[in-house]
Amino acid sequence: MSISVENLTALEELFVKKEWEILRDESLFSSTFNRFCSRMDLYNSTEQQLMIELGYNFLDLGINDFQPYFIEAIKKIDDINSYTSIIVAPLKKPSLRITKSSDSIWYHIKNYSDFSYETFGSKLYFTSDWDIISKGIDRPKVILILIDDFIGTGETVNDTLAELYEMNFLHNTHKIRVLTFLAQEEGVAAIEKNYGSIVIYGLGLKKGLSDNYTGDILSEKIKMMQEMEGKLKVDSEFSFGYGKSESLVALSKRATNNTFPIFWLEKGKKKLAPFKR
Amino acid sequence: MQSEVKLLLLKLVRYNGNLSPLIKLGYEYSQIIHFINLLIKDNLLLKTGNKIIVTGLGISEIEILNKKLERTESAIWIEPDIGSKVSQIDVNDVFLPDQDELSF
Repeated sequence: MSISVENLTALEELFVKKEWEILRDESLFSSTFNRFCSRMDLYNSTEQQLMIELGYNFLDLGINDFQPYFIEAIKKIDDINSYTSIIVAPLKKPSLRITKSSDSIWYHIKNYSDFSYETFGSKLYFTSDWDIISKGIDRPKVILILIDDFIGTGETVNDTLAELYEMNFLHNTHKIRVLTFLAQEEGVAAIEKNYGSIVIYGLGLKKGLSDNYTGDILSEKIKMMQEMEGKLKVDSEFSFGYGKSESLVALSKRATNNTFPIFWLEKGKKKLAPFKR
Repeated sequence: MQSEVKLLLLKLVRYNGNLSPLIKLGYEYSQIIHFINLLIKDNLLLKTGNKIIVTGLGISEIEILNKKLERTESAIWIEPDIGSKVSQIDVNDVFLPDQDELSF
């Protein structure tokens, strides 16, 4: 396949709108624009246009973009001012020994002391030590905020909370909230089914195809996406994104696995995808 | 932008061709979009809605460049496939094509 002048300029318009930089002489590997083109090259003209169309709903957030989302999200906790302490911890199973993106976000937010003090004074207490957290949260007027960057299917939150309750780090009497910057609305519903309204998020996300189109147009686009995935031999586990989330999200240029794989799945050196995994 | 690239790009737009000949020449898409924008700025190409067309000025530019680069006969409207051109070898040289490089 190849790209027509029209589709190339349409892609440029997308990049201008999203404020994604196009550096003229950047290499194929490091330029999102060239990587996007490399993926478009695999598809026919209409399929290329679907990629561009979905691109308009694509969110690519860098670590510095999280700060306003954090404040927005934390302000959504109705009675936040009635607590004397707010413990902030990364959302991660205590049994996990590896570093997760929630650790990275938590650490970043922790070090933005400027804005935390401005809004919450010295009420915020950052720790990732579960022995300290479980002691602290037993005191009255304390709320625990578990922080993460993204909720896709809600599976990670459900599994993590299950482990925390099972290991007796948390009890039903404790006040907890899960705070995330971006959340697929479907994932939030899956968590609330088990734990009630505990999720606070900056921005709720709809499904890329199913929630944006209806009727014949939807069926047509779903079929087109299936064909596009077929050309990449997408594993059924990730078809339309993990858990069929239909997400359009990258965090620091790395797509979540809930995102449509045409945006991140790479096969071979020459078949680059717009975003990395 | 080299005259050859300018002429090729103008012809590709005029005859509704895709951009693969420029890729074959070794350009990245980020460079090609830059060239397209330069031609739009110079009024040789025009963006109308979703379409890109060659302007009157662009057509005269094609004619000028055809003469300058000595494009005659079919080469007036089809650009030679410069990307596939190989340098001439001596009559006694043995030519063994690399199996991996064959494009057919």
